[in-house]
This record gives sequence, C-alpha cells and structure tokens, in this order.
Amino acid sequence: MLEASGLHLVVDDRPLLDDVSLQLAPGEFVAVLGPNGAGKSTLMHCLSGAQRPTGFLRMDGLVPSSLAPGQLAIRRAVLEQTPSIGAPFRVAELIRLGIPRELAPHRADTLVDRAMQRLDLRSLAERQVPSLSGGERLRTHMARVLAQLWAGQALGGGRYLLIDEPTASLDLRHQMTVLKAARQACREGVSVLAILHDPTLAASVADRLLLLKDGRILDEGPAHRVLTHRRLSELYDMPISVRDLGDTLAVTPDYAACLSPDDRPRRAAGRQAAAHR
Amino acid sequence: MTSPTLSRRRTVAERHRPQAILAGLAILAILMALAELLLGPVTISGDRLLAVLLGGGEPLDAGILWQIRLPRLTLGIAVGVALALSGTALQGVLRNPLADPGLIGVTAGASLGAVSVIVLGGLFATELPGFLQPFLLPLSAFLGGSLVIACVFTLSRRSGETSMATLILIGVAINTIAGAIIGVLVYVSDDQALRDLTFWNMGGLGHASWPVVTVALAATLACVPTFWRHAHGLDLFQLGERQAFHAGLDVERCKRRMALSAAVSVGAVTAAAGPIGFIGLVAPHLARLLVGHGHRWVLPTAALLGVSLVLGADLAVRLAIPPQEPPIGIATSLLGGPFFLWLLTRRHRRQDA
Repeated sequence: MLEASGLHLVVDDRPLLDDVSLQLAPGEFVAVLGPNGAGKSTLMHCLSGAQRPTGFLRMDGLVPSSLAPGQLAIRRAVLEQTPSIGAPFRVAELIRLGIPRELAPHRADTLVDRAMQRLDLRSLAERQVPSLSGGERLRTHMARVLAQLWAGQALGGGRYLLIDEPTASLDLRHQMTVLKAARQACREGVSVLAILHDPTLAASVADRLLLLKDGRILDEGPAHRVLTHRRLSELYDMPISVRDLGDTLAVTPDYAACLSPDDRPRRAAGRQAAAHR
Repeated sequence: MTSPTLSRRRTVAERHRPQAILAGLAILAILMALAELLLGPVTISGDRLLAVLLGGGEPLDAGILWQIRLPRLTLGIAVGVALALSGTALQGVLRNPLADPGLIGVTAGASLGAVSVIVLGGLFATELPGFLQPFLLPLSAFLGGSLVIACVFTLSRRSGETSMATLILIGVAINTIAGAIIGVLVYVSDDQALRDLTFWNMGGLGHASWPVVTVALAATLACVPTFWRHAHGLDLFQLGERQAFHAGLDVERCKRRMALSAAVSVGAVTAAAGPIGFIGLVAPHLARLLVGHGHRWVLPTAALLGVSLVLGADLAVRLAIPPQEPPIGIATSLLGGPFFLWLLTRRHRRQDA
C-alpha cells in the first residue's frame, strides 16, 4: 500500500505540491492527468523517494525517502520522463542495468529475455541504444524498468510501478504494448501510477484517474465520473468535448471552438473541396 | 539468415571476447615489464635477470635492477593503474568522456600539493619522525587533488550533468590557478628545492626511491577494490543521476568514494612520478573500443592498458637517445594530444549530424 496525505512541496518559494493525498492499492492502475507544470512528475518523484515532501507518506508503512536507494529499488520501479543513457550500451545490456546484483546471473538473463519479449524488442537486442529511434529507446527503458520490477518481486518486493509518460513518442501499436505490460503487472498485484497525456487512453486503461492542476488535486475517481466536459475544460483551460462510446470515453479538444474564427472559413472550404474530390 | 548454430557460436565467441582481450593485454603488459627490466643503456639478458631475481647474479646487474629498474617498473605499474582507473571513474561519474585527471586539473592540484612540500617542506619536514617522510609528499598531493575534485564536482553539480565545455573550462581555470601558485612557489624556492622541483615537474619514473615508490603502489592498490566494487554503479551513472537513484544506486555515496579513490591514487602517483598527462584519457577510451561500455570489463582493461602505455612511453623516452632521458610527459603528450583532438572532432561531427 502506498499512502499519501497532505503532501506539500515548496522549491525556491514556488509551491509545487499543495495538499495532495492519494492511495495506491495493490493491483490498482491510477492515471495522473494534468497540464504541463501541474506537478505530475514532482508527485511521482515524491512517491518514488527521490524528493522529500512534507506531510504523511508511507510505502508499505515506511517513509520512502528514509530508505536506502537499494532497498527502494527492490520495492518500486520508476520510469523517468524522457529517459536517457550516456554511453552506447546495447539494448540487452541496458535492460540488465535495472536488475540489482543480488539476483543470480542466470535469473537476470531470464528476466532480460522476458522484458524484451514483452516490449517487442527481441530483434533489437544487439543494437546500440543511441542508434535506435526515440520510441524504441523509450521501450528499451520501459523494459529495463519492468526487469527491475520483476527482479524486485524475486527479492520480495516489486510492488509499485511508477511510469512518467510511458507512451510519449510511441506509435499506436507500441503504446498498447507498453500499457498492456503495465496492466499485466497490475493483474499480478502491482500498484501502477502512470502519468499520461491522452485522456482517452487514460480512461480506457486506468481504474482511477487523478486530475492535477497547479500542484492541487482537482478531482479523483473512475473515468466516467471524472472525465466530464466541465472538469476537463477547467483542467486544461480550454473547451473539451467528451463522447461516451459505451465501454470507453472519447476525449478531444473542442477544435471548432478552440481555433480562431478567421481560420474556420478556410478550413470549411478545404473540407468542401475534399468532399467534391 | 544465419543458422541458429552459427549465431549461437557467434554469441559464445562474443561472450568470451572480453576475457580473450584481457588475457592478450595482460601478456602485453608482462612483455612491457620484461622489456623495462631488460633494456636500457646496459642490456641485461634473460638468464642474468633470473639470476638476480633469485638472489644471486653479478653485483653490477643486481645494482642496476634493484636500485634503478625495479623501482622504475613498480612506479610505472602504479602510475598506469592509478591514472587509468581514476580516468575511467571520473568519466563515468561525470558522464563525460573528456574527464581526464590531467585535463580537469586533478593532477595540477596534486602537483601544487607536492610542490608546496618540496619548496616549503624544508621548514618543517625535519621535525617529523623519519618513517613519516615518504608519506609527506603523497599526502599533500592527495590533499591538493581532492580539493580540485571537490571543486569540479561542486561546480559541475548544477544540472546533475556536466557539459563538455563546462568541464574543460573548469579544467583550464584550475590548471591556470595551480600553475600560477606553482610559479610563485618556484620564485621563492631555494637552489636545492628548485633542482628537486625541476626534475619532479618534468615527470618521470626514474627519480623516485623505493620508499616513495612503495607508498605510491600501496595507495593505488588500496584503491583498486573500491573502483572495482563500483563498476555497476558507474554503469548506472550513465543513466543520469536521478535514474541511477531510481535503479537503486546511492548516488552521493558512490560519487564520494570514487572522488576519494581518484584523489588518493592520483595524489600518490603524482607525488612519486610528477605530472603525467593523458593516460587517464587514452586508456579508458581504448578500453571501451575493445570491450564495450560495461565497467566490469572497462576497468580491468583500462588498468592493463594504462600499465602498457606508461611502460611503453617510458621505454620510448629511455631508448630514444641513450643515455639521455627526455621526460616521459613528452611521449604521453605526443600520443595523447592528437588522441584528444580526434575525440573532440569526432564528438563535433556527431553533434552536427
């Protein structure tokens, strides 16, 4: 169980988190939505133990930032936003970096193999990471984080998966590959917290959504209750339309209202021309 | 398509590649060490060397080997290992391929410490008990070196990642400051100190006596296990500091230990051999070209390469115009300078692309 209540974090006189509370139960998938600079990544860093907020924060009853980094790494795995690597490691080597050395080498090999398979990286195993495309690189880092999570499970932890924009720069198929891997972890009892930018995607994949704006929680709950026209328009400061497609929601900006009026005739003319063709 | 057996055979070969390379480099280092003992103004044959090492032999051979060539070889090994491992560790921690102890000013700091003792040591060294004397120079070189590393780490801390330009500029600044203070010390030193200092400052394996050499080797060997234990940590540093933390690395502790080990080993060998440049740059890079980027293999490979490079440079300067002996720094700079330029242009090209 990951519990937080009344988290505050002030950096350089700027309040980054303001009275944030949340609970992450085993097997639960929570998505965090919010505009740029809302404090999403900061919240994740607090939960992961990289930053020390004031307020109540417990991971399995312990304060994350008080644990040794090695201990934390066994309990939780974190995918940073736009992860990078300084040296041209190969894909398999990079994935292996995530596995603590406490795990026997042959078990580590198995985990690396499984992570590559799960994220569709088998054919790239021997390629150097800098030579990959942006999306392939992100998948490689996601595989590293999954391998760390599984290694943690083998060592008696591996309960939390915190992923920051895991679908950025991925094509549609591989967005699903990554989120399926996260959901699979959920089914095995892992709590997942994912920062996402696509409300439609978040609605279909997450059990619960957390709307964050200016360091405060705007709303929290299941998709169909939280993702309303009013809430989302408030969250992003722009008109947003929500359509109910039965089993899922489709969220798009209200393009017609957003684009400036003098743009509209030209676009309409373009549409007409396309219709004639 | 390659057949499964073929590809499996290839992966087995790949897996054993680092071991094979290490073995090859070990043989190279041993050959260099033998050459270091056998060659010189007086050539000593293999059986005469064996006789001396077994406790017998001719008195002239024994004198040359025990008084001149063996301390020289021992110091060469210490210098190679210390500079190569420190270079590898600094490059790993700073995520910067140009972090060489010489270029970023660690050697200059150590030099400043050593020169201070050479020039001002006369004022208080005679008061100290005899057994402490060989430690005085390495200790103050270590203090100078660690001061510089602390400076570099603090200045480069800003964003958790150092740009190449920042690091080189810090190095330029520190080298300038250290050079200026050394200049002042030269100015106030007496004749004897000036002689010592001039010889020391040229850099070389030939001026040190057994006690100094022993301290250098012992300090270096004491640091080797620390470097080795942090091989995985140095790998994780390549992810950046925050990601390394998330992957389970105690970033600050790893940094402190690497800085301390680099300062101790660079200080000890600089005190004994004077400033020797570029080994800490060239050895790790050649090692990465040979065995890839995992520090588990890079560290031992770089250490063996460092030994071979230092001994090779020493042989080159000794055998070039015997019995004259130009400073070893000439050889390492002739090799390392162009290498440094090549690294810079290669990086530029990659950034342009």
